[in-house]
Amino acid sequence: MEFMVDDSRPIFVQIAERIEDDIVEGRLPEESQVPSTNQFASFYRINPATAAKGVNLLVDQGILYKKRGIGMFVAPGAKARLMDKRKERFFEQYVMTMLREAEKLGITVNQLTEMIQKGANHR
Amino acid sequence: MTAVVEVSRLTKSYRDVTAVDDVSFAIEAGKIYGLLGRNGAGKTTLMQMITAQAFPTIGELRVFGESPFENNRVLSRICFIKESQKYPDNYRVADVLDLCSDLFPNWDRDFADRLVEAFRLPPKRQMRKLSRGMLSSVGIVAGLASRAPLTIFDEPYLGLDAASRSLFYELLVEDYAEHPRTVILSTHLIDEVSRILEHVIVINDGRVLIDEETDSLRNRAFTVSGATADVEAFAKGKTVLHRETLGGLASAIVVGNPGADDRQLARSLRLELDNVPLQQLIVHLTSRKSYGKEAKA
Amino acid sequence: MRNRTSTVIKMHLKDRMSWFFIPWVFVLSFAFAVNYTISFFLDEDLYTGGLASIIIYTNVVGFMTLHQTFPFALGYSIRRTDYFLGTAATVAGFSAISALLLALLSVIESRWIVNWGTGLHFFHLPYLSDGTVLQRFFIFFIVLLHMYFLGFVLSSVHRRFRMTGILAVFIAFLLLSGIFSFVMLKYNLWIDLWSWLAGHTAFQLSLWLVPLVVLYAALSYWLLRRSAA
Repeated sequence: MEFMVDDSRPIFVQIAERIEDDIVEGRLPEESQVPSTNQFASFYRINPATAAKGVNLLVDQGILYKKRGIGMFVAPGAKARLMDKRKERFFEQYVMTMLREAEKLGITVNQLTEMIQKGANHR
Repeated sequence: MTAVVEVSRLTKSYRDVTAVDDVSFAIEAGKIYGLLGRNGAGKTTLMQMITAQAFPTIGELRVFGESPFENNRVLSRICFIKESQKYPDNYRVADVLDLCSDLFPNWDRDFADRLVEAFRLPPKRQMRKLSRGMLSSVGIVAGLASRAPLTIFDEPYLGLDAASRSLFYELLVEDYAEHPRTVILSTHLIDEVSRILEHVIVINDGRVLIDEETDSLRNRAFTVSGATADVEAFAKGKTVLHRETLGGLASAIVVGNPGADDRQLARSLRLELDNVPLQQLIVHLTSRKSYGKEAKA
Repeated sequence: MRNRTSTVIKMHLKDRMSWFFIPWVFVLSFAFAVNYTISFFLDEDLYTGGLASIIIYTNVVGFMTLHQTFPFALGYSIRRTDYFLGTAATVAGFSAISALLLALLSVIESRWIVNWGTGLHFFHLPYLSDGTVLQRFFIFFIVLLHMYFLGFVLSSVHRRFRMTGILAVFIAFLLLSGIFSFVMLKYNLWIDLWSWLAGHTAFQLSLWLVPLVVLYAALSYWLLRRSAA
């Protein structure tokens, strides 16, 4: 499997996003050790310094923390905080966009709610 | 950060051309640099001066804090692998690598042996009987196993297929992670290498066009596309690197990072904003001579 | 730090083809074999200049070395000075060992297997081999060294100044030899020169090659210091 890195956005941001994904989706449980910078580097074939920058971004946000001499670990409560952040983003990216598009098409909020209900039943 | 290479107002002129024109920059220790630019931009001349193989016309040059000319303290710490490297006619692959173990103090024989196998090199074969790709592989093996504090690869992979190039990047990143050193990678295959570069120096017409961290360069421009009139309205007052039109549609590459106002404007004009891959950005930058001046203004 | 001059010697000696097989196995042995075969069918003694083969070959190697190894050496982080010193040491070694063998062969030819049983004079020649064994050794040594550096200095001129340089040297040589001949002729000095040459032994004359070798070596070092890879 080839893990593509998007060359049009800063790679350290993409690395941070990958780690966030892993935490949110449970592949990296809280208090578990995160792969080392060098492991990230050879896995994605990116510069180790870039990988370190991505990891440090999450350390700054309190998502990861450093155990001296051992490595980086997922902070307690990291998953919940990331979920909150994602929900906010979900609201902006999907709900608001949907509402704007619905408005253009003349769909009322009630109709939209009905459509969502219908979609949920359909699954 | 200590500078491994310091270049100040360096110029190299031949009778009727100026290959390197008043160039200044510094290479910091322990990073992987990309020296990018079109063919004939002056990259090779620059590296030849850094390694004391060519003489500057004017300017200052310090490598590991000293002049590299006839200086073993500096030269023994440099390994310069170039596409056009010549080898003695009667040399075999094993002869080159054996000599390397004398020349480079950090030479790792086991690593070299593993690399020879990985690149499927026949150690007993004469250099002049190697295919172009194999010749490149010898250089790559020498460059990696030298573990030289300053390792320079100048278009090291002529004739190598995609699989071997990919192997080279993989091995470079792995070995660099374990044995950090300063690496300069000069190439025009920007797409392939950009993710392993920490810092990029772009040379165009013998001058430094960009000297920046790679990741910050990825935020340097964006594409806007939509109806021609709307794209023009959006681009007004902005620096446009490149324009393309197709029927009533247009797309433009705009310098900068779109702010909230830009996004709002784009939304109201129903324009799409996209990121620009590094390769595309550099191609457009180096095909526009006036960019350097506009960007500074 | 390891001695990089000795690395240059090692670099040269890895090319056993140029330093051993071609001069001794192919060139000299071949020349000897041909002359030996001819002498076999001749009734009278055969005096031959077959020895010139290895001398000319050494000159050719002098021309070729720079082209073969200088870009490689510089490309692999060797200093010009180390390149020059290592090359000079290699050539001195090659000339000394070759001269030793040639002197030995001249002794064999003159004393042990006289004229190889067929009346062939190959290594032991009149005038050239008149002196002591040591003198013979020195003549061979300095002639080989001189021929090498003659080739080396010319290819150094080429490396630094390309074809223009070679042309300049050629024209200068023609001019100087023209002027020399003219002066010699005008003041009737040719006869004096010949009698002077005839009055000296091969060993005495070979001593005149020493300053020439020094001149060529100094000049080529000066040029290499200013040459790009």
